[in-house]
Amino acid sequence: MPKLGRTEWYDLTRDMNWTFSYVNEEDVFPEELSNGFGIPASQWWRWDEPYKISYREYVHNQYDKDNEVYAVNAAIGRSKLFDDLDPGWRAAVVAHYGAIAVPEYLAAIGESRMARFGRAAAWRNMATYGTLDETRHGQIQTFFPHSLLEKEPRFDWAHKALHTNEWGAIAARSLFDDMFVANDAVTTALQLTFTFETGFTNLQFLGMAADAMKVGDVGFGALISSIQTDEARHAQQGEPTLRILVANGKKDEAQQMIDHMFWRSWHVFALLTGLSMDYYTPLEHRSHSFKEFMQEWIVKQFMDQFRDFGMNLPWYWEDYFLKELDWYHHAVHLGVWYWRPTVWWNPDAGVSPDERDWLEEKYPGWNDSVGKWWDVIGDNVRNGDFALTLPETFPMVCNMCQIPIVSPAGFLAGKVASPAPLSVTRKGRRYNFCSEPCRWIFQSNPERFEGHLTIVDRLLAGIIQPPTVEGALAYMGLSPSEMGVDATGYAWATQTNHHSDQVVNL
Amino acid sequence: MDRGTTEADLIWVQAAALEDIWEGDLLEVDLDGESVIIVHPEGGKIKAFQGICPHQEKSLADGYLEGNLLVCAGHRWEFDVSSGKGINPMGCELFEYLVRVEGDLLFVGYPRKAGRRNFRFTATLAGE
Repeated sequence: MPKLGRTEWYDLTRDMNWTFSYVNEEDVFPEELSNGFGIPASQWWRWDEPYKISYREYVHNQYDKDNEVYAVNAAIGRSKLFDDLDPGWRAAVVAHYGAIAVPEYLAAIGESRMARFGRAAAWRNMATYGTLDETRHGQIQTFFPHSLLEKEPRFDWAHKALHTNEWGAIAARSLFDDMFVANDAVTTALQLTFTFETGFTNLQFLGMAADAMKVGDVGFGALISSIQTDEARHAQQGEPTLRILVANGKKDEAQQMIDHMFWRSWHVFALLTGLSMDYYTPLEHRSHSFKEFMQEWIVKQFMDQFRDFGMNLPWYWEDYFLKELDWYHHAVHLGVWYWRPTVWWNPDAGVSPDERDWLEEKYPGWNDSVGKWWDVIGDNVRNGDFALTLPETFPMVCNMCQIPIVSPAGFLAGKVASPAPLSVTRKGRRYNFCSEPCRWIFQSNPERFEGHLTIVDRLLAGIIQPPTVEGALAYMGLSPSEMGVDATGYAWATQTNHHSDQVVNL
Repeated sequence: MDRGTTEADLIWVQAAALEDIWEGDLLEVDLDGESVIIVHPEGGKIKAFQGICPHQEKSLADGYLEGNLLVCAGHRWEFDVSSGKGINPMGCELFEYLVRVEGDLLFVGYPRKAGRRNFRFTATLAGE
């Protein structure tokens, strides 16, 4: 039998839209689950995804992809490849699994909401694949670390992290709950698939895959690039949804959704990918700096996309976002390393003399801003005063991104007008924010966010007992053997500069 | 010449030696700052296209060529290199450069006047 071309059967098999006669539209698509912004059903039926796939092709492709990555994983398990990996790189991988594996399962909730409450059959079809994709990503990213548990006990956190109240896990949960667990289908399409998956996941999944291959972590590289091929297919849900909103006069609403989630995504990726690329990946294997990746894959791509869709750049683009590219993740890195017992991975300071040269080259002024704090930390390490390099108190935490407030570092770098946190008082409670965009997101929809407590709010509210560093560590699910320590046993503090052979600062 | 140009409007650049681009091969070259991919399909003619994918600007040279089918490694977008047109998605297209063989060398030509040599492609609505 001759095979029909895709265009001859695809729309017929994919589209099953009809006009409701027994029920109201509002009963089928309640606003909390699918905010249609008053756009008529026939307009939503114009939804069309560029890259098309049948269920049969989908299963065939996914079967092949799974075979490939599971074969690589089995081979890695039998080899010594993993044992020889750099400790900093291990930190990047351990952090990745904890922050990403279980949220992939959560993303399946968001995808399945779109698979039921997406407002066109074509969309629901694509979201059904998305649900299966995210289930697969949850499975492989818990299975792979599990099979390496003997070599790296911290991989336990691939499953454990999101079930704890560790502060990074709270930040990830807060972001993902806002983005897709507790979001309606239309907003999810713009915030998860257009804003987050089209741009930011490329950074972690393709950018880190490139670094993984250079480092020699073939298993991780194969895994995350396999995931990204799914990601781009279901990320397609964003573009047609945005087109429909814009074509029906809802550009301002769409702009608000994107500006909101772009900023939140930026902060969590600065924490996860920023530290991994600029401090944890071994110097000799870094292909680009985090800022360069951001400029190439986020700044340029989003600017092109905004232009293609007739959208504006977010209001904070020049004054806040582009400026933070120079300093924000460096400040967060300093904080994560200092509060290292509070994370599930072993942070690599990544500030040996050669690494500092690289940082100064990629981020001119690094030595004169955060570098000064590292000078003091380095002196304390070399003097054996390790207690001085560990925390005795708690930082302030942002009531939006849930990441410690590091604006003093931005002030020192000349990028922020004031070192003081921003605040809002509402119903007698004071909320603190790290930046104008975080405060703006809160004020745009305070009812959505006002009930949430940061890790420090919980301490002050008496939820964490005893209210000490030890009590907080226990609350965060970190036993002494799980708390992060310096990845290289402070080797960076006594290394000499490669180029000059001089001992620096001894 | 279907790129709206005449011979006088083109700048020709030596892009590769013929021995560098075997049948079944693809090769990325930098053409005065633009990424260009040269493809040599089995039993087919050598062609040159924009080097980055119209989808998310990944390098097409990281992908693979099977007959006339070019697949981007980023997200598996598919192109027919006999025409430069998208197979999946349909409706998209790669910018095609002119090629010329002189002796053992391959030259690629591009229009002298500035203009986009990298097509992009995003979703359109049904009926548009």
